[in-house]
Amino acid sequence: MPSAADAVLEFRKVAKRYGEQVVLEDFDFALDAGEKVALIGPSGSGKSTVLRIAMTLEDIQAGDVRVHGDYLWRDGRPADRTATQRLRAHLGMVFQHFHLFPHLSVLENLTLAPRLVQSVAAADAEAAARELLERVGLADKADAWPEQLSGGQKQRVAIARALAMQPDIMLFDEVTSALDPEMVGEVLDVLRELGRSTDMSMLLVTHEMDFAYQFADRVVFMDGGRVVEMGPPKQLFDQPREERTQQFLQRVRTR
Amino acid sequence: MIWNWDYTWQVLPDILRAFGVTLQATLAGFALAAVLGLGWATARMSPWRWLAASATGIVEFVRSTPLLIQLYFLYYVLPDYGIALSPLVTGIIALGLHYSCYTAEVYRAGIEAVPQGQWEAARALNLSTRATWTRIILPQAIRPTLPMLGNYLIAMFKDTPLLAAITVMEMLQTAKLTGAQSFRYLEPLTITGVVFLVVSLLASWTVRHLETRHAIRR
Repeated sequence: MPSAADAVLEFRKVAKRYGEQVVLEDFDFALDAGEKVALIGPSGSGKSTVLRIAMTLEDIQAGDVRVHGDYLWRDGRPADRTATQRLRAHLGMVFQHFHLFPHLSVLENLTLAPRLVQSVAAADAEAAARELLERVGLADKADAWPEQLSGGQKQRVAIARALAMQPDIMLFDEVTSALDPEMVGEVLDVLRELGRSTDMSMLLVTHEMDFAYQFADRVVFMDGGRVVEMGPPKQLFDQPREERTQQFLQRVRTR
Repeated sequence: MIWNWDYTWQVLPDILRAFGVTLQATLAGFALAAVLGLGWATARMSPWRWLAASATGIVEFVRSTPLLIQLYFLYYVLPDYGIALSPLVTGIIALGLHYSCYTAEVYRAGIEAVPQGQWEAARALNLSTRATWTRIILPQAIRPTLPMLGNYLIAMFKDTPLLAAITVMEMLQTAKLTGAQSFRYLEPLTITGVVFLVVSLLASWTVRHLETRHAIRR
C-alpha cells in the first residue's frame, strides 16, 4: 500500500462518471489523522464530488474508498449496508446550503440523529446539543426555528448538528459560498476554533484562498477530476510547480 | 306540488339520522384513503422495481374505472369468493380504495417537493431509511398537501350517495325510501340536497382557511 498507515480516509484510483462526462478519473488521495486539508480548484474539477463520495451521496464506477482502513467502496462497489452505516458514523458533513430540517427547532435539529441513530437519552442529547450551540455562539437560539436564522447562523447550526454525532472526520463542502460576505467570517471563526480545539481530521472544499492558506496543513489543487498538485499551503500558494495551478491561482487572485 | 312543512318535520329526523351513516362512511373511507394513499405513494418511489410497478399498476387501474363499478364488484362478486361484508363496510372499503389512488398522487407531489438536500442531510447523519421517511421527509411533505387532501375529502363526501346502489342506508337511500312510502319526493330529496350543500360549503370554507394559514406560515 502506498498510503500512510494512519490515513483515516483514503481514495485509490477512484473513477466517477455521469454518463459520458468524467467527474473523477484515477483519483488518489489520503487524509491523515488530525490533518486539515483544503481542496481547491476551478468549478467542475470534482472537489465536491470527493466529499459526496466519502459520505456515500454519490456512487462511483471504479476504485476504492477506505475509512480507517475499512472499505466503504471496493472496486467501484459499495460495502454492505451494515458496514456502510458503521463507517459513515466516522464522518460528518456540512453542506453549502445548510440543509437544516425546517420543521424542527434548532435544538431538535441537533438531537434527532443522536437519539435515533445512537440511542442517546433525550436529556443527554439535549445537554450535548446545548453545549455545542454554546460552542458555535448560538446558545440563545436553541428554541428558534431555522427560518428565523441568518445564513451564517444556519451554517453554524449545521456545523453543530454534524458535530453532535461525534464524527472524527469532518467534510465541509463550500460552507461559506452561499453566505452574504459579512457572514463568512463568523463561520470561518467556528472552523478555526474547531481546528484549534480538536484533533478531528478535516477535509474542506473552499474558494476562500486566504482561509485555506492560514488554516490548512495541506492544500490539494484539483482540475479535470484529478489531483494536479498538493503540498503545504506556503509551497502551493507561493511556489506552485504546475502551470495549471499557477494559472488558477492567478485568476482567483486578480478577482 | 307545494312544499309541505308538516311532512318536512316528519321526515327530517330520519334523514338526519341517515346523515350519521353518510358521515361515518366519509370519515372511515377517508381515513382508509389517507393511509392507503401514503402506502401507494411510498411504494411507487421504492427502489424495488416490482413493488413500484405493482403500485403504479393498481393506482392506474383503480383511477381508470368508475367508483360505481368498483362498488358493485366488491358487493356482488366478493361474496362468491367467501368474502361477505356488510354494505356499509363494503362501501367504506370501495370509497377508501378509490380515493387512495387520488391521495397517492397528492402525497407524491408533496414528497417530490421536499428538496434533495433533506435526503442528503438525513443520510449524512446516518439516519435509517425508515427514520428518514417518518421524521424528515413525510412531516415536510404532508403539511402542504393538507388543503388538497381536504378537497378530496369533500369530493368523497359528495360521492357517498353512490353507496345507495349497494343498499347502504345513507341519506339518499333514506330519502328515496321515505319518498316512496308517501309518494312525496320533494321534501326528502330537497332536505338531502340542502344538507350536502351546507356541509360542503362549510368544509370548503375550512379548507380555504387552512390554505391561507399555510400560505402565511411559509
